Amino acid sequence: MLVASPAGTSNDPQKITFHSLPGVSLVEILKLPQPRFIRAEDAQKQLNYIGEYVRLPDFDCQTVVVEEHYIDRDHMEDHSVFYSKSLHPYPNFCRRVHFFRLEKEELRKQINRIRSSRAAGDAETFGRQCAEFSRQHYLGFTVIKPLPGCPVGRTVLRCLPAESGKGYIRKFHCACDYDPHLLGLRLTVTGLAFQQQDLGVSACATTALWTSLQRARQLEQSANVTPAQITIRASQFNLRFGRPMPSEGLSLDQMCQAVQSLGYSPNLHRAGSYDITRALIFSSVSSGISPVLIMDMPGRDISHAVAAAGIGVAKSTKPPTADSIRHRSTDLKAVYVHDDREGPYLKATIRKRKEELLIHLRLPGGKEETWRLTHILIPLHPKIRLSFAQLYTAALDLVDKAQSYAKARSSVSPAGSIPVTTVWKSRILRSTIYLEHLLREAGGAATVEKLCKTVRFSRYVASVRIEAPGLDAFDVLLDTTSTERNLDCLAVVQLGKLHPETADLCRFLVDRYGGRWIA
Amino acid sequence: MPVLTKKKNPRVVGVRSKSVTRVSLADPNFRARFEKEMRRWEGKVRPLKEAARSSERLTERDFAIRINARG
Repeated sequence: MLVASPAGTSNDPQKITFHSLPGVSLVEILKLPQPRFIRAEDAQKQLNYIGEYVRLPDFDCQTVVVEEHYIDRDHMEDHSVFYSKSLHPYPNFCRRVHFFRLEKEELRKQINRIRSSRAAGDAETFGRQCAEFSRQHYLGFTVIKPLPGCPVGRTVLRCLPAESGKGYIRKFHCACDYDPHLLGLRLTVTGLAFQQQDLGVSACATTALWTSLQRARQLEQSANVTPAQITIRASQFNLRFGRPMPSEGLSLDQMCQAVQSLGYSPNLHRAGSYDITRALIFSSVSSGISPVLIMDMPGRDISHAVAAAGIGVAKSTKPPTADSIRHRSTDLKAVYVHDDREGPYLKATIRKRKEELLIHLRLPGGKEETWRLTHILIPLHPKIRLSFAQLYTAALDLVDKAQSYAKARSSVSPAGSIPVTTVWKSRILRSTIYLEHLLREAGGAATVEKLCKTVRFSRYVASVRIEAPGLDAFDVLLDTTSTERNLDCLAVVQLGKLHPETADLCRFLVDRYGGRWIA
Repeated sequence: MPVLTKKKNPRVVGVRSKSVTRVSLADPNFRARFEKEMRRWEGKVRPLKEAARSSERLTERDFAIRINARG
């Protein structure tokens, strides 16, 4: 009788091995097979990037722990719709590699110590110990797919630290918590999932959407979507560029179709004006909604999609010499993107050429690329009817009032009229998250109490934070379920009582736009 | 003994509150100044509003872009 030789059975023993990282590459540790028709350095580029990333002085990874058998939902689904139908018997399971700061023996000891503490203590203490252990020593994980030409599957690595040491602050608003389990411990890592394009089920468009939807999923606690689901939904009604699999890329309308059919609303913007494009990226990322950046390479017929995970914001700016209104995005220096051709948290510097926004990537190995941003695709919760561009437009209406007030006030000053600059930013947040942010402000607890007792919130609120000289900062909250023509102001929230005239302006705004004044 | 002072936000620059006369929109003179400024700033932000609106005016060509960079 002929019996097919399986790649493994469920009764095979699981193997979990510890390896020291210094001086060895991940490829060597994992003993990856060489791809047949492409160069190993091309196939393993992302894995090498990950190896270098965890070795950065900020992380200093000492040990990797390899789970030899790991079922990854994304690969399982890719396998189900694509790889299982190949002649070659690709396994449906993967390996998972965890990264730790501790040295091998110390790591074993610490894991044993926390595990043994569970019998003596309660679940809460155990949970706290796991969280503390993760915070101190855990750097994240990468799933290794059984595909020699594209081994890097779902990868979640800790974000770079906020302090860059180069005059700007990194902010990873789109990062979320992932809780992998290892050897009985519940680990936690805050990051945004990345994976390499496989060009079977997904190319860059699918992978960028997959990353972006990871964050959207956590905001709504909905199920993760897989690359296979995205490609299938994208090509359901439209095959503009031929077969969906092996993936030959997606068009923008296919990407929008996928977003829509997965339960989100595709908010698409064309990159026209530099200032507006930069403000849209800033607002989306600082709202914790990862935008997909579509870009092309000038002079070459090629377009690319990456998902933004965070931003780099200048620490200080030059004082203005003339009256102005300034969006916080003026401080935007860089965007940290997940580029499926390279790796996660790749720094993309923002540059201006006439009205174009250029994205400059410094790639590993010293290579540099400059792309031109053409579109921004933001997957929104369907209850958010107000787009980021509409919010920007509505906010300008409010900001010009604040600037006018501050300017009029300055002109009656005995010191004489001096340059007045109003700074503002606009975000769309879950109302609960907005309230949590408000609690961090001085006197926030009392303000939150008043807000909750007097204002009915939409699930997501649009918040316009305005800071004008001589006035306390204040937020104007807009109902995101309303639309541009019938925009509903929920509240004007004064954040301080140092400047009595703020109340005067807030009352004026409430009279004009509606909502409640909360001070 | 050192005096604790509130750290100023370096991005919000301009008038110093102590040296400014108290103003109110109930004062017709101040209201007139405010409205004059308002007309000026409404005019200044109009091009920005138009640029924001035009970012959402998409055509067939936008949707037809093929995204397929490999690496």
